[in-house]
Amino acid sequence: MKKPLYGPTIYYATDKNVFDALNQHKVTKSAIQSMFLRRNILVSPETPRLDLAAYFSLLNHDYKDHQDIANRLGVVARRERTTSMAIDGVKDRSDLAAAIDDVKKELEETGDLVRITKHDSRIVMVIRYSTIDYRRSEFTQTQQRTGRIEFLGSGPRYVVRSTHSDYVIRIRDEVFERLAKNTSVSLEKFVISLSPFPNPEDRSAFFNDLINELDGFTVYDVKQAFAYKARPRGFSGDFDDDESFDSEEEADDEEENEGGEIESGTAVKDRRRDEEAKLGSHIDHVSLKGVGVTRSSFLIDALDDGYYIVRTRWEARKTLAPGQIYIIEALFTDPAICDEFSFMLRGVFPLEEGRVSKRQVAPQPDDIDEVSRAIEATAQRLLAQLREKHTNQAS
Amino acid sequence: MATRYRWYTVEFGRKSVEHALKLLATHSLSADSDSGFLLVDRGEAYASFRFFAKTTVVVTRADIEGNTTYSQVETLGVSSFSIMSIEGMTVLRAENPGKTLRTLFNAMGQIIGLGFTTTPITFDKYAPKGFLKTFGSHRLINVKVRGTVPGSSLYASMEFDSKDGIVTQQLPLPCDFEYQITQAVYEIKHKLVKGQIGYWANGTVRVTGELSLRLVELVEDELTQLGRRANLFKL
Repeated sequence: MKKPLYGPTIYYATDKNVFDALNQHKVTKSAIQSMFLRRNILVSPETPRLDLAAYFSLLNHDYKDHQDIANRLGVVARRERTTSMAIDGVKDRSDLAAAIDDVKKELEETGDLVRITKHDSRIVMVIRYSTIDYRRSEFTQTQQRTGRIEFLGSGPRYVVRSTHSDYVIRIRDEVFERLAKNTSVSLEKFVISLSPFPNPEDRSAFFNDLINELDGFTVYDVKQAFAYKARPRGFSGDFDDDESFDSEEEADDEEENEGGEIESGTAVKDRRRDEEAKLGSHIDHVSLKGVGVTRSSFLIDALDDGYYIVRTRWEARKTLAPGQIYIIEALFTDPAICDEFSFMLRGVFPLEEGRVSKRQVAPQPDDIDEVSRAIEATAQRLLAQLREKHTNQAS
Repeated sequence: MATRYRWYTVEFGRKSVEHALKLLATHSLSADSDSGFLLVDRGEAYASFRFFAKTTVVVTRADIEGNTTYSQVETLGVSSFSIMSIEGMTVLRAENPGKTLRTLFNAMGQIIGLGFTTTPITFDKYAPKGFLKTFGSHRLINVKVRGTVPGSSLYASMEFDSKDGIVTQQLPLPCDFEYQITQAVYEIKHKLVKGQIGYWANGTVRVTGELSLRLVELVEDELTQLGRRANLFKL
């Protein structure tokens, strides 16, 4: 989790960059005036922006000037998805609080802002940090972000809900590493992952059941589904690999089949994969958008062909109080192994004059909390059912 | 009284039609469920159901000061549908369908699980009206066309009515007008019995008169034949 205090060096803006930046509408005229004022220069509101930008770019610029401009031009971070896990074995809440404080101190040393609030059964850690993207142009390299980690429960089992970003997940893991180290206890983690279940049917059924059996919600419509199928074994995107096409081997295979041997389902699938590999074409992701997507024969055909659902977006309403419609998205960030489960309440169609509005609005914190709890509980239940099913099959 | 129908081809994934119908029949409406099914009639190749769904309607009230308040009142929506198995195809026929059958299909999807698919049968390319020739008399009494005039940005929608019958080739349309028939209503006479059948491009058929039931049967027969020929249905 260690973040270097300095470097690597960020691009330093030249006078040309400053001139170009000041001519963008995101830098307001009042902002330019205040930058002049800091140099004890009064500016007439009538002076054209072009003249002001030309003059200002001739002056010396310091770090504060660059920050002022960058904050206005910088990329506004989008709301990020949430990921969740459960952790068992936390004996004392104060131990957890101590580990969080430890991590907070370290983060603040590296320049992040951390705020911790504690309620009865909830500890919330809000981290304000910046990320740097060197591929972007000068003033948009820095991006201010906010991460949130919530520890819900009163022990020994906690549900940990956090922003789904590498940095925040590293912080979350660091808290538990500290906790385990300080108290010398072994903590058991329960993450939502389908990596132990490689069967495409199980993976698709997980999403279908999540949509249809979400605790306290009734599905209204499924709008999007993304299906995935890993590239076949031995696949090469290079079209010049004619040498790998072994016609003799294929002829042998045909002779074997003529001999009356019936291929098993797995053998047929393997054979098809090998054929796809030889053709040099393969579709990894299938994205379907529309209404009633899970009922479409497009999707079902793809699933029959070995694809499985890795991401979905649907609309749901509360079962007991049908009213506003919630737009929910859930996905596995790593589709190949169905790992890193995350979700997001994308928006809400509120009730207006007794009817569901066509205008989508941002969700309220209470709505986010309610949907998150429902997804966490349902996903953990479905995962437990899946484990049980496989245990029964094995026994 | 006019009755409207729409048809959908349905598939039940790995479940057999028989199993799927049994599952639907066992899911009746209860206090803790949003919706439920009632098996009304069961034949060899078909099953008729009623579908009940709890829904709300918005009631607007105005007090003496003229302030408007809105409240939701719970009610029960009822719709009828039949599922037919014809030579390996499974077709769902919705009777007097609403604007959308989302609630019905969602409920069926939840019961049947992943693999349940629905595809609406639409009449934008053809309409099952070949059987009309078998009647003593039939004539087109209403037609609605929509299209564009080539070489211009004109977009036209026209409706024609005639009690004496319309010949589509003789419609007074602009030259080179490329159009599509979006609605057509025929009047039928069979041994002094009158009836009407209307086709909409979205797949809706409306029948009126004493011939209604016979007309629906004939439409379904032709749908099956056309579907098979054009490979529109999955077999």
